[in-house]
Amino acid sequence: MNDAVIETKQITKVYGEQTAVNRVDLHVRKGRIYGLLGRNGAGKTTIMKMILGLVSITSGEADLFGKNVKGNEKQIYPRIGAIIEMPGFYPNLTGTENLEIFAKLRGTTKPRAVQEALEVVGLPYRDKKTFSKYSLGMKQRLGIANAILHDPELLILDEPTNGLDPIGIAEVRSFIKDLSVERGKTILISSHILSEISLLADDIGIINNGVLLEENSMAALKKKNGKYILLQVSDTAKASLILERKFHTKNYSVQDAHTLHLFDTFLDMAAVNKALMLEDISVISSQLCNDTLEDYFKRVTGGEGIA
Amino acid sequence: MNWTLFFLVLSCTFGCAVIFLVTRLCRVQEQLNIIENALKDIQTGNLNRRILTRKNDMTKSICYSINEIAANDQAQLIRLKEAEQAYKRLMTGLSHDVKTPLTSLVGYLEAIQGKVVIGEEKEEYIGVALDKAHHLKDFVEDLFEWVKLDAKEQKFQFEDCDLNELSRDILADWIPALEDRKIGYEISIPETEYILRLDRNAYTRILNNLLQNTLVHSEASNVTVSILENDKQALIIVQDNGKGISPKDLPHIFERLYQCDESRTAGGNGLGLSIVKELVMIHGGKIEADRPPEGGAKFTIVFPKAL
Repeated sequence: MNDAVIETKQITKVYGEQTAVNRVDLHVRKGRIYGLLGRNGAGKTTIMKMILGLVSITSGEADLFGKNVKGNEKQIYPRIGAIIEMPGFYPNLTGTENLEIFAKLRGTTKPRAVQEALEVVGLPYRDKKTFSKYSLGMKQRLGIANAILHDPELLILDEPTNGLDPIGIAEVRSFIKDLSVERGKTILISSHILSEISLLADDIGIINNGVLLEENSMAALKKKNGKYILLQVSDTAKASLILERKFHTKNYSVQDAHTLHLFDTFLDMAAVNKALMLEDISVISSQLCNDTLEDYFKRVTGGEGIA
Repeated sequence: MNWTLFFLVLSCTFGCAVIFLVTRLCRVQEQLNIIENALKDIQTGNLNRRILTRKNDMTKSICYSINEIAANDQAQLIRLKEAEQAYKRLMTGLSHDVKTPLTSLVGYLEAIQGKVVIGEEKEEYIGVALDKAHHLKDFVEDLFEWVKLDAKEQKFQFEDCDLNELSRDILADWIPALEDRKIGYEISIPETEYILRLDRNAYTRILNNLLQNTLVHSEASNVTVSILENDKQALIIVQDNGKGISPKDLPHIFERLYQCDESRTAGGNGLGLSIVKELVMIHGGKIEADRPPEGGAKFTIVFPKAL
């Protein structure tokens, strides 16, 4: 398992009396989008800041690209692009000029870096509008353009869709997805909006009060939270016959020799069980799975839920 | 006196030149180190690695080239991975598309053999079992054909034939099926002769699959097949007045194993249209799917006259 781009080992941040982040082990794997989900003040931004070295780590370690951050800053940080809160741009310069300054400071990977970064986020190149006249959405986009300007391997985006309108959110979501799918970037993204993360992330980490409660792949979570009746029976062939003849449904799928998923969840489970028993099919288990992701998060976070 | 001043200026200039050259050298040295590290990283498979370079670096163009090579390789690798994933989806798809009907087929046959059903009911069971067997056979045939096409193993026999006559022949076979389902049809094919170089079987397959697709998925009450020709190209248009293809699905419908209906119950197998596309491309033609403003779905095939 050495494809971890970010690996934190028990990182902790204490501000005075308050523990903001408590022994977090985060594993962000190469080429995947990792969604850090938590309510406001849960510690998402602090974790990102610690990874980026913007605040000191009280205890624990952070490894990036398989190397400890401490002592390797000069090699590691050029390979990361980030936006944490509002990026600092010069208000009296245009977006293009601002990016050109950053390009000069940081270096570039190709001749037309600034122009291409602006194209990705959908901002005009060489526009006359100064940054101070930008709308919140444009500022946010320029921030992302700045983060991808040097074509980094790893992107750390702290609530990149904050303050965007619904269409803007969908656009940003789609180009973040493209960066991962088409360019193989690794992305760590935080949000307090569940639906946002569930549409985007491959892996998900749920954080609450500074503690990482759960870390899992989205596929595994979705599997756990499908809507179907899980039937374990002695003979799926016979069982499927009964489902088709007695309950007139073809909406099922045979998983293996003893497991069936029945997608018509409105069927009366007691009647199904009884019919199966009458035909000498032993029902090992039958259960209704219809947890939504939301229910699941509520349970994980101890009933408080995430908006 | 003058000489002293002269020497002083000379040594100062010389000193400056030395300092300048040494700093340049140091920067190049540093840059070479970075390049070496990055190349090692790229060599071990991290194609996301980029080298940052500044405007005045002597190594700038080398860095740009390395970055470009890595980016191109990365893009290629991602395409390969996508193909691999499609195969994986094919395999998981198979488990549903084959296992479920096969299991239920076994269920029906066991019931017949075990004399659970007799008389009329038995006949009905045999009918259902036969239907399922046919469906499976079709699926396996489609799959086999698609795999052969994908591996470019299929041999084609291109010969000059009359597109209009061939199309009429194929459509004639469809009329009973359309009338059976009470679907109205309009066929407008020119009476003249139009010679194209075609593989008869492949062209038959193209039209059959398109009509099959309309029958199974469109819920249409009317279907129109028209052929328009000029001296450069022939257009074959299959249009229906059914539910159409949703904008979400439209870009994907020619992808192998793409099914608009996620529960996979509609009876298709996600292979028909991708076979059509492959076959059209083999003839040097193009196919497009549309949502015409008047509703329904519209497929347009363009065959160039000179192949």
